[in-house]
Amino acid sequence: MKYSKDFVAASTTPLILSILKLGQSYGYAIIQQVKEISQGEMLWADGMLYPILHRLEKKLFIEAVWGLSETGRKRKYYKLLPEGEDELKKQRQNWQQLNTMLTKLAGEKDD
Amino acid sequence: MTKINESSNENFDLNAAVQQWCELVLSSDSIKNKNIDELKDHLYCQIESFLEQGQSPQHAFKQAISKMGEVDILADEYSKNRTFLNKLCAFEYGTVGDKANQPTNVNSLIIQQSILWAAAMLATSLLIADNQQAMSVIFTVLLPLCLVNVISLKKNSATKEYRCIKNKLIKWFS
Repeated sequence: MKYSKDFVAASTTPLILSILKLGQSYGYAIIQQVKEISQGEMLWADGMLYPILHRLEKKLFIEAVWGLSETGRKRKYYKLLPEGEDELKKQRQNWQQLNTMLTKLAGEKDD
Repeated sequence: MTKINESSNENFDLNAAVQQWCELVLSSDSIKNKNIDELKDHLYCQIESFLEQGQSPQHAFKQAISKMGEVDILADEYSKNRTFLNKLCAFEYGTVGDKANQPTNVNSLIIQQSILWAAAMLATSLLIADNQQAMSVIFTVLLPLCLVNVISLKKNSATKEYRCIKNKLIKWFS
């Protein structure tokens, strides 16, 4: 199944926040994790993630810290801030509501 | 667009190629120095994963940069985070990325510039209407400037045109 561009765009923020909820991470690892949990269905263009991360950082949902990789390279790690946790809760509720709505409507049609 | 390290397999220098790519990315206005280290780390992560799959450094590098996307598109994504002033400048003079598809932009630029010049001439003539030298100011300064502007727009890219006008102005007033 191929996801539409709009769907991918709408789902990036909740996915990024959910991943960072599990612990700090960095760009490449986030893309790999999304690829893994979607079983290769959701593929993000490499370049698109960083501007989104920077926007979330500006909104104070996440915080960036410079660190080092295992091989000693400069690496920027992101971690979730309290505001980000609140946003994640809100987004989860929204998506669950949408899911309930869609299920209800599908059920009505079947009857 | 600049070609990146097209040398043969044996003398392929991975670090130099990555450095070259970074410089190409930095030449776009939207991606600043502080962001390049992050992209560089990403590129190396991707290259390492391809190397682990047994690919040659050159092939790994090529695939990694193609996964990263065209530099223009990358710059576009970053440009969404720019300030209003930056966007205004990019609208008026174009970004480095615009050079690739220049012909489509030139006509709209000519129209924009013409409107600006017309407004400038009208405003000036209203301001100095009573002055005896009003006509000569319009015909010897503003009109030639306007023509040079529009002609150079057709010949060169938007940024070059801006530089050309600036140089001319400096020459005239020095």
